[in-house]
Amino acid sequence: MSGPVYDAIVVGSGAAGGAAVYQLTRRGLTTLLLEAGPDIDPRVENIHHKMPFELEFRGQLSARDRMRYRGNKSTNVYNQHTMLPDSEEPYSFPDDKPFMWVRSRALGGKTLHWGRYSFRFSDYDFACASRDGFGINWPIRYRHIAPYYSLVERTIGIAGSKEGIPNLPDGEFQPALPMRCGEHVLRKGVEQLGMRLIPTRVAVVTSHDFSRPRCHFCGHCNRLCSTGAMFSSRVSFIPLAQETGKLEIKTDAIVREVLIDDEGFARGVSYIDRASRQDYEASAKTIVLAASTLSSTKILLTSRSRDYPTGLGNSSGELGRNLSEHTMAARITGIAPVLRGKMPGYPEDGHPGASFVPPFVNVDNPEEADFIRNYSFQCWSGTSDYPGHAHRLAGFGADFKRRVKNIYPALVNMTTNGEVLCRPENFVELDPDGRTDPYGIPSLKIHLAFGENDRRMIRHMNDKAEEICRAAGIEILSHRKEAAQPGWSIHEVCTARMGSDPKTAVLDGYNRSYDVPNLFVVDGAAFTSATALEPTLTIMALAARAGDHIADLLDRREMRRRGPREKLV
Amino acid sequence: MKRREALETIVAGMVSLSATQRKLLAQRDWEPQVLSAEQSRTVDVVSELIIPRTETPGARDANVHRYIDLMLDQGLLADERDAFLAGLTALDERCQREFASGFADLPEEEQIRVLTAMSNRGDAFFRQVKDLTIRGYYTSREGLLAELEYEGNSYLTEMPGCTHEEHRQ
Repeated sequence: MSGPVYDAIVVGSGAAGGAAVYQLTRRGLTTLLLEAGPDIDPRVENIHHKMPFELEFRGQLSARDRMRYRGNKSTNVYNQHTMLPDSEEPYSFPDDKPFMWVRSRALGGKTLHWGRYSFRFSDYDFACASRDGFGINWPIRYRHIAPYYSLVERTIGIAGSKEGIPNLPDGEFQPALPMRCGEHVLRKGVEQLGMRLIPTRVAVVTSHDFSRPRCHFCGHCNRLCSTGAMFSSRVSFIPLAQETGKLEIKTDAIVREVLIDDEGFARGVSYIDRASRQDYEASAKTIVLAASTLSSTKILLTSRSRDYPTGLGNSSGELGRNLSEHTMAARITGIAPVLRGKMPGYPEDGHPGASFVPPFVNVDNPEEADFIRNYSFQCWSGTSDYPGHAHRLAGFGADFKRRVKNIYPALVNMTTNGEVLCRPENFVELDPDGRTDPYGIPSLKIHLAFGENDRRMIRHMNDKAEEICRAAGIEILSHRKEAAQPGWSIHEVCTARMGSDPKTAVLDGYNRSYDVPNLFVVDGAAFTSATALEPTLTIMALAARAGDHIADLLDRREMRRRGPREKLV
Repeated sequence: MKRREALETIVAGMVSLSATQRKLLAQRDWEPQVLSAEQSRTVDVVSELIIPRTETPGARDANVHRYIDLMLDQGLLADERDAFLAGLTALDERCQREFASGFADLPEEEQIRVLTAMSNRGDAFFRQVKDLTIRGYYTSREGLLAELEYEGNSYLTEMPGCTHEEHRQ
């Protein structure tokens, strides 16, 4: 084959790929972005503002579509055109370990409809193993990533409040959004117990003076944002990268594997054009995988060769292992009695954010509980378009109808993000039975079960949530104590982890493969631990930082130099 | 030309029809796809008992029975649909045995007694028809706009948040 040799090929266009191409092209590198799905502009191709009664099945999927997207359960009628039907990429799991793998294929990836929560990690997270003795530390500290958090925040826009919380560093924020009535009622309970409830930091424009329009509070951001006020790579990083003239984009390009040259360096990727089903190759000096944690891992596992019989860059044996995510338990819907029957006077579901209890347990003393690591609470309240609580109320008739309405503005909701410990027995592998997708690419088999530490933490979450509700005077209407199905946090991470020691890690402190010096993995696969915070902002900061490092290495002609890596810590 | 299209053509030609008349004509045109006419009547009666018209519209005003028929046709999985139809048949059979009458033709006090017993014992069919009624009603124009007074899906210049001192103290 012949064709251009790009400075970099980036595989995947979500949070990670967007931040990578942004920084690579800003540094003047010619970059090819490969996206497995089509280009969908959320500002144009959306049905965001359709009321349920204007939609064929009242905003629900038909039975046929429910079956088509059974493994990809966050599919709904609003985001369906960005989501991957099971038949396009089948996957499996052991019968006793059902896993939900939520995937988008579209330019912008899951950022087209993501949850927007954006938090900085701290050295409490990066030095986790030094604090409690479990696992390995991240190979970086806060000082290494802080400038890139700032870069990302300034570029995409994060609304938040400065709070001075040691384990939740403040960022460069746009104006924070005020909390709603029910969140204030909850806050009193949280504060009585010595914790904090703060406005969630969200990737939405709230400033009148920004490169994208300000939020106009129409709500339901996960239905695709029709103004572009909510950050997605599609409306932010990618157009900014295009302005440099250095970016080329190929959509509907499904990457099969990373190609290796005779000296063991990555020389390009092979990909399948979805329309023609033809195979192509593209060449570059640097390969950057940003296809999402499990997809990037799958590409590496598929890229086997004589030198890498268990997957590319897997001399440590850690590739595919340590799969982690967040436990979402303490799923509470409660009623703030003071708000019964009091309509708020504005649509509370127009709020693009929510409120948040930062991790509080095991912080000052990492061994204070009967488990290690910690969790955070997400909290939200008020009226929304669908009164889901009606399904929880007993009875029927005029009194039932009156209670549904009376409680409607008084609802308060909670759930958690708890760190699942990285354990080697939670892993992914290429399907041992040889199953493939329609393009002949091996399928993934996913093995994830929560362990004893995770279960102890879940008990703590449930007890603490009930304690908060009692302190706030909130009546619990329903409390689902069991954690949501593995995968449901959509925060899968750690399957190609960074670390200071090439014997126990796949990547160095710049997301760079120890084995293949011109190969980088910049999505959640690179995480060393899940932490109790949403991963996306850190993914973006690491990807932008890796982009800078790639440009530095190419400038210094050191990309193909082998040898020990710089120890950052 | 299908019946619906024929009716639409007729309606389009009848300039003097009022909105109410047109609505009535459209309603007459509807036929259940899965339910029998008798079953459809039962579902209509049950849904109206679950969410009755009060000072605001009820399930019947929102045509919840049509929504349920649509769900049975294309919204529910096969086992969910079969469970619903079996439950509906069992309800009518029970009423025939006990009262020598289908559910829909019982006096309202009797209907309420039957549903109350089902609700109290956690009857699976009652759960299913109640869930479908809730979904159908609160996603309708009548349930969402008239009953819940939902004002969302609109634009605001500012997000007010809580402005009540008593909630914040």
